[in-house]
Amino acid sequence: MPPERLNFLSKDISGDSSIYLTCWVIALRAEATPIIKFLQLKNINTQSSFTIYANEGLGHALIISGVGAIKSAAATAFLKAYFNIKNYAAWINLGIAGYYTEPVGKLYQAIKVFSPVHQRTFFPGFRFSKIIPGTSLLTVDKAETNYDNPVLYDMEAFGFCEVASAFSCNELIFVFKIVSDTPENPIKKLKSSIIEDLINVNLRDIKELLSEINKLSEQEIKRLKIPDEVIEIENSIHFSKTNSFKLRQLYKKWKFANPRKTLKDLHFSKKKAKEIINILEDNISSHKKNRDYL
Amino acid sequence: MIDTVYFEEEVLQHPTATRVRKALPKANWVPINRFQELFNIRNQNFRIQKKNPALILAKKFENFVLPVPSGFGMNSTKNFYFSHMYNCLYDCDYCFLQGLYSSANYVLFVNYEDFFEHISQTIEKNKNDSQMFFSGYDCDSLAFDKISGFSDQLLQFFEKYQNVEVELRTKSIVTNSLRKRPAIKNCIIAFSLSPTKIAKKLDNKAPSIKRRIKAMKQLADCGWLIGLRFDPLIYTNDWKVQYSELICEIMTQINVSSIHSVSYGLLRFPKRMYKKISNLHNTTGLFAFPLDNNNGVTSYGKEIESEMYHFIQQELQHYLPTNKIFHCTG
Repeated sequence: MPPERLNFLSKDISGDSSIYLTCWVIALRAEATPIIKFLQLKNINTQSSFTIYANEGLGHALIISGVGAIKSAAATAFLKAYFNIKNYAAWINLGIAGYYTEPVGKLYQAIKVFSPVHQRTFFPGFRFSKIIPGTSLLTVDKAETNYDNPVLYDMEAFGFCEVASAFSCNELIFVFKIVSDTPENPIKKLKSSIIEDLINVNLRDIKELLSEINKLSEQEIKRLKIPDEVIEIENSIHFSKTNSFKLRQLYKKWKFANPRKTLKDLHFSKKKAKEIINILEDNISSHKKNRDYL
Repeated sequence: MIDTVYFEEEVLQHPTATRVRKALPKANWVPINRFQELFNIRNQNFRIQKKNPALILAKKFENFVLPVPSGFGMNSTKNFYFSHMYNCLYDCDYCFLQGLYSSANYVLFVNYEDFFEHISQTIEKNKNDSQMFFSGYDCDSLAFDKISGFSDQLLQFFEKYQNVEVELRTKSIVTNSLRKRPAIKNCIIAFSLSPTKIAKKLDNKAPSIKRRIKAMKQLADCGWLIGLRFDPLIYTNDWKVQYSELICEIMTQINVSSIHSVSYGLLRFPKRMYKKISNLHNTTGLFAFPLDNNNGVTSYGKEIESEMYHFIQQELQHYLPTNKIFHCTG
């Protein structure tokens, strides 16, 4: 059970407690440490060069990617594969970034991520403008020192977005950046302890963001998760891909019409896939005109 | 309130963009190249986006005026539609826009003058036919008007073409700008309507039916011609009572002479669109109904359709001549 202060992250999902609903991809250990502590993540021995932390009860997993877009992309793919992350999980790239203006320490959501090298743009994430402001971000190859444009500068977000957006819907891909350096406070002065402090002072907003992200993921779970009793049937009887799709669609309609029943009430044992589909179709169609579908 | 405006850099100085900037002073303005780079992203989630859509300001380059789908028009020989905007402020469960677009963000095409230019050309090209133009196919015609200012310019344009009809289809009750000006006889303000119980469940974020009827009455009293649009008709176990009460309520409040036309059509989707939309909605009852598939169209099926058509037609005929009633199949 999560401690009381982390109750806002508890999952409102029946069954499978091993689901990782929120995946963090963070470049530096100093950026990750406050999150690891806050979410009480434990180190996972992956026997690879990637370092992963996770808290199964809370549904959070975190990977330290190293610096650069390629490393960020690779780490995102590794984390997905390592835990077989589902398509309703949220992905978060959190880190520090340069900005054209003060103040240092301000948290932003990057709502437009552009790579000058690739000449491509991502528009990640559901926007949380009531919690933090949104802005544009450039992912660059080398740390920016000129700050010519009114945007954030980082070295990972583009790589992260490119891969993460293949795993979950675009609205569940988030890039959050904390301003660490500006023309007035250039990058040379940054130390690990300062980076940790920058993350720590924003934990309150991060907590609020996580609470909202959790709600979005839960909404997606309700839409995408295949009910256990459907999986059970698909595992016990051979369903072609087409029939499996049909079964899942029919199940939703059948469940709406029969909220208190389970599939066991229809006595499917020893039946073939097509027979099961026919039974469900007949059951749904009978009395359809008398049901209140609102 | 819209918190973010993405704008094509090319349109920033356009008067419509200036108007929007004044209307949304607190929004975050983010430059983009072309609206498609944002609007057509793969793997977007329409339902999540719908919780907080952004506005995209863009310039339209082609397809300003298009012929309506077959079965959509009314008396006119030639029927066209135009869309100055994609997507709607409201969030009706049955809305086909969810299946048409992968994004719930609003796209406003700022170059109204190009729409009018192309409409003029279309009118000239078809001057020997009766013509009707429809606004509100890909958006609500009036709901965004406080920000877009589109209808005012549209009406000024159509005032010059008295022999051509234009329909503004809406669920909005923001009718002040219409009531402030003299009614235009070739303009029909067409309201989409469902029985109260159905609208409460399905017409999310839209004004209540009571308020829509009140707005209709106010417009009718100012001399505007009103269109009644019962499309889509929704089946429930007590649909007869509900639709009968709705039609009666409207007809007792709106003078028949103010009613330009009534059209009705059943819930229907192209098969692939239905599949896409129903996948977006997990628990909505509307998508739990076992619909039929016939010739690539998903609908209630012949038996229910026939029953509903006959009933609605009869109910409407109690109040209106048949030449004002149209069965919409498009």
